[in-house]
Amino acid sequence: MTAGAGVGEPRNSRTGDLARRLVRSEALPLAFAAAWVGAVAVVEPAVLTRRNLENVGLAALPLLLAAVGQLFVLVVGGIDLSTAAVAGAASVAAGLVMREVPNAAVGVGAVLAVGLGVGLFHGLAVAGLRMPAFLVTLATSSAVAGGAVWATRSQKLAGLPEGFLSLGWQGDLFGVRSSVWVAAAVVVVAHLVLARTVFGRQLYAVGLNAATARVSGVPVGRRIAAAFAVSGVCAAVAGLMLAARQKAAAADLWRADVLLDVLGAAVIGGASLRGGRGTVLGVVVGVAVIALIGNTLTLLDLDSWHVTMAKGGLIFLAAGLDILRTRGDRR
Amino acid sequence: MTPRVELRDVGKQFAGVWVLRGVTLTVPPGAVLGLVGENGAGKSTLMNVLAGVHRPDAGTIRVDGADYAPRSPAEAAAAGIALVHQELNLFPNLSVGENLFLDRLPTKGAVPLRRVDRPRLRADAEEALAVVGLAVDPGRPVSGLSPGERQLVEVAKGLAAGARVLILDEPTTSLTRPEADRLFALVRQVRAAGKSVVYISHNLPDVLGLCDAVAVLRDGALVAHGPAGEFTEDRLITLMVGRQLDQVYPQRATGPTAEPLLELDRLTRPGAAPVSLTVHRGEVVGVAGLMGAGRTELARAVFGLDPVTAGDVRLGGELLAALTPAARIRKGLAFLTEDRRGDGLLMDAALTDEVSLAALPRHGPWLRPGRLRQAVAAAAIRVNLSQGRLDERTARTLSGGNQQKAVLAKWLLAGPRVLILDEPTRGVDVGARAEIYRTINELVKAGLGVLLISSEVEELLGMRDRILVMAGGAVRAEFRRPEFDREAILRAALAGRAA
Repeated sequence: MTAGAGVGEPRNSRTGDLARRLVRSEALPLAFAAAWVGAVAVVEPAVLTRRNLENVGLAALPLLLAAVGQLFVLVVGGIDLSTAAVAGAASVAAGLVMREVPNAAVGVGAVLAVGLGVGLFHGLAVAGLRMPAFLVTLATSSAVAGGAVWATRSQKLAGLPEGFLSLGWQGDLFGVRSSVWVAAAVVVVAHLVLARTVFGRQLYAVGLNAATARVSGVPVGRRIAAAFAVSGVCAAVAGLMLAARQKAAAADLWRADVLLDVLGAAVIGGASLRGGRGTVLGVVVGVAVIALIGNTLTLLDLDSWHVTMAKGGLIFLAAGLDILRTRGDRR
Repeated sequence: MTPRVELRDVGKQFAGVWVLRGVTLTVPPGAVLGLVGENGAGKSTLMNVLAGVHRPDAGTIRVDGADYAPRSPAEAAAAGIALVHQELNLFPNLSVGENLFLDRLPTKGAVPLRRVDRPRLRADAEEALAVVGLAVDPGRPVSGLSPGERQLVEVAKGLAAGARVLILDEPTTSLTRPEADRLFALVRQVRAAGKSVVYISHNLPDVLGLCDAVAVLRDGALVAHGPAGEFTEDRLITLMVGRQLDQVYPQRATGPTAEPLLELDRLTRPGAAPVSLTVHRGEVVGVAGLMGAGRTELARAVFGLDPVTAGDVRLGGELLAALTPAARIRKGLAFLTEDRRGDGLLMDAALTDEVSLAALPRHGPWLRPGRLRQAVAAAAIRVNLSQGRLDERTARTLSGGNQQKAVLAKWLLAGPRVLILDEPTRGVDVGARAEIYRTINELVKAGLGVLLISSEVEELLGMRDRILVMAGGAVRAEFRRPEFDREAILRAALAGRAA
């Protein structure tokens, strides 16, 4: 019956609104991370040394790129499970072409081509053929990772050109590493696109309600395809960084379980797997939380499985927070 | 004799609005009661109350003399009340037999090995199907059945569950004439077996031919109830409609011009008849018709949301064929859909974002939030939506009327020349209604054209310059200003059904 459902009762509760705004903001995970690091610093002062924080930050850059790309897909209500595979395959493609033409620009071109190609393929399958994003990206993930292993005979491709390594990781520009510049540029551009452009606004609309977005003149299919393309490119650039850092391209640069860090960072930062929510700022905070948890627990001499367990619990809590945030929103 | 069903002063309200008031009605055993009324008169609500879907907010119901207050459809079914829905409730992927006995499949074996007793299911199903005279294999999936056969399966399901009262809600909508006749024969047979039937339909000849008694609902109240012999088709129509135009509809000072704005030239949707119509500058063209007459589908086709197979749409002389909805919006088309929650609003976006959505491409590619906020505020004022901070509230927190105003504001902001309004006042309170009408008048005065789809003849009479009546996907009749006659309009709308 439409008669009953059509009339929504206006709700108005100031305290409710305040609590709601608090759980929705990026401040909550940030405060949590600060409190946690502060507490750990009491026991283990090494946490707060400049050297440690720098290491944590640098190590988290590829994760940051991948999570920002993932955010675009989450905003339109999709999911991209191909992060690790695309990163590995992009690095392998670059390594192979640079064997023939040892030129950094060619390598970067190969990285971008793989990311864009796989991303657009995802977009086409999800938006054009209406296939579930979950399955599509999982399937290409397997195919792409397999292809990369086959192309390299599961060997590492060392001997990457100096220019490529410098551009991707440790080059110095105005006293700051090239990888930091790249990540900062991606973060700033992504933030501006999502928060300050018509395109970004339309991405959120698609995630909130694709049918309404379509009636309101949003080219829904093209926006979904674009989101997957961004995610693919970001994952590929993350692969470039990882390869440059370890001075070798390989199909398994990243273990597939990095996906949990990527999705966890996005969700901790306020993105919703149900679409239409999340900010770049939030993702930055989420990545910081994930990175600091891992780092602090390691410094406390906990074993790697303890770190994995803690992360799992944390992401579970973040998913619960997501439910709390959007409770009452959806039908 | 104790009535089979006895309703006394039954009322039902949704969100403070009484959609059913003081309905007192009896159905004797072995009788067929016809229930008629316009869309929204309360027929389905009344039957949902009887079938345990809704709980009444006033009054009492007795079945065979015993108090009856079902808390769920399952309880109603247990008390012998079976509702056959307008949209059938069968699972197409399951077999006929499984559908018939879904809630009580016969089983055999002890718990760890308990399994469906297939031979018994088949035997029971064959017996149930024989009652309705349907000769299909119970093992066949329902998806392979025709609409008429599915209807019979639904009836068989109700009867097999031991129904004493069978409620049929618009059962013939998708049936061919022979299938309908077969259903009527079955209804008579059910009646002869001493069971009662409530038959809801817009097809008045069918109602008068089949039913022993007829009840007419209007605005949630019973306006007539008596033996079928006391009614004629014309009298039923008069009873269904008969109310005064109230003061909700503001006078419009301006009249239509001769300049065509929106022109449909033999626009053809797959499987529907071609439709031609014109909306002029400064004109409100009403589109009347019953549910399923093809009005929403036509609007979606005009807006580029659904495919067309032939014909043209022009806006201000410019051909719109092959344009996306986004491009049509740029050309000046706007479409307020009938389902606010489904495809009208972003329920969980800030109102600023929601209201600016359709106009965004004109404000890009870089957003200037300040200017956008100003534009949204201006549009909100035009529709009289004053809900405080528009960049913090979401549509979900608004009442139905204010939600609709938000949709209207969204389209005004996009700067349309022609506005298609599909049921713009559904679920909207009277005050907001009047404001929406006032907004429409202002737009028309400013030279817009409006295509107003409404199931409420009153609304069309109050707002229109011309009224087109659609039935079965085609325009069946056109009424111009001096000759408005609500009975004639309703008759034209019903005509498509009887055909």
